Amino acid sequence: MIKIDQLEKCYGDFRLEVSMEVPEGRVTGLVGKNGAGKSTTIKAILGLIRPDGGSVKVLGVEASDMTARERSRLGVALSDSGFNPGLSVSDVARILKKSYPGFDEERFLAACRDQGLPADKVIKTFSTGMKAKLRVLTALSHDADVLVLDEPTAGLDVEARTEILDILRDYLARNEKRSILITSHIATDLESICDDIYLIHQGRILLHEDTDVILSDYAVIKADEEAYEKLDRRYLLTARKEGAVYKCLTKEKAFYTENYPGLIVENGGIDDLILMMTGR
Amino acid sequence: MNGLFEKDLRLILRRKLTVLVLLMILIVMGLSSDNLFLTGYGTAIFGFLAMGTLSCDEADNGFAFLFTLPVTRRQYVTEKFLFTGACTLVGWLTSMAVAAAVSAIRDTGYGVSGQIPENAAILFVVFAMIAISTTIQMRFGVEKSRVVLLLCVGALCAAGMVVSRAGGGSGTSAGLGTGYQAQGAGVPSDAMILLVIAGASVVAVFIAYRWGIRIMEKKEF
Repeated sequence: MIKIDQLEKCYGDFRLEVSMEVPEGRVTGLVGKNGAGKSTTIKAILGLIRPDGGSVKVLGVEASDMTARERSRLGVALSDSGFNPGLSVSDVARILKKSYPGFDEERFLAACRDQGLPADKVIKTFSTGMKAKLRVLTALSHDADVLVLDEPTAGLDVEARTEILDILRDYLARNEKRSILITSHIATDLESICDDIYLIHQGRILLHEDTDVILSDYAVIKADEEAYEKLDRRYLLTARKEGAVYKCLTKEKAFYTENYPGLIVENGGIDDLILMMTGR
Repeated sequence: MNGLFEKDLRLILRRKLTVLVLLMILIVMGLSSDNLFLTGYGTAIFGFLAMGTLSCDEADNGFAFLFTLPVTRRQYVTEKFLFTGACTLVGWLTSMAVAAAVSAIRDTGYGVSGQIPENAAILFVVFAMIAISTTIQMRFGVEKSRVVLLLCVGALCAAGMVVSRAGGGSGTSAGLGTGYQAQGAGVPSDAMILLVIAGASVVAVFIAYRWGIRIMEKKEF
């Protein structure tokens, strides 16, 4: 559905060099710290910026050449952009009705009502959480084949984040062929929804792994200096010293739990992955 | 593109009070000003009101989301030109209607029918002005384009004076109503002036449109 091949984009000292893929029926997460290049990658996918090199194909078409027809198969939620805040939900519904052949006005308004979004109030009176929900519901409103969601849960409390993730799960349950690319710097949000994760840092993809593998095989080892010296380090991805303790990231959790019974081996999560692979 | 029309229409309708105030000002001006100034002012105001939707699109990084909708950048520019053009025309017709009504109430003896060429010239000038301003706003954004708008208003006033004088009038209501007439030898007729203005306007709008497409297709959001 989305294929990025050696995408290059430079902004001053920042250089983005990314290759990645979002296949049909997969939910792919793009995680990384602020400024890692997530939004730039999303903008390239949506044809909002021109790559300096490489290729970005969406639904088989180069992103910059997408026609209105191909764009109608995309559902997009951006973290920092949406409909004019002077419009109301009912205005948005009418605009979407005229824009997308697959838009179901009744379903959209019902979903907004369910999420506590009043139809006649203008968007600028909404809270941050309400605006985020509207952006996601807008992206989901026309049965898009591909969803591109840039930080849909940014700045929200746990409850609002959970509600948005529930909306996405419902959407996926209705059609298994849909694909989603979702970015976030809140990795725990993605653990329950993504099939695979790309970790981006300073414009480069550091890691691509299935979420199940991250949760089952990755681990953080905590060892003092003596234990660390005795450790077989062939399977350590990174190691760093924090005070008197070494923290090490491994993809071979089983190896260390079996061969070093006294060692502290904690289950790894996406947050650990980000911290260990991108932290100083 | 229908979605863009709907969006712009709804943005305008959200400013109902502004439209109402403008209509009131038009009526008051109709009672105290000459008809040509009234139509020029009314037409330009409606055009700029429509152009305000461009500022709305640009606000809060709105373009980024707008260009994820099923619309190409070329279609966006086309819609914007059609929408501002249509609003300008509505403004012109409304101003003409107000001018005709005020003339009838004041029983001036000359209605707007005798000033069709002058009023048509105003419409063409405003079309060109709005088109150029729209493109300049696409290129420079809201802030810088304000300077250009001020220059355009100055140009409108100057053009109005030229048209009024070329129409044989002194620029006051006493000279109006002479309308479409043949001039003496060596002096271009009203019809010729109107044709020149219309031609120049069409060329200006076309160039502005093509320039607008180039600007938007090159922009990154």
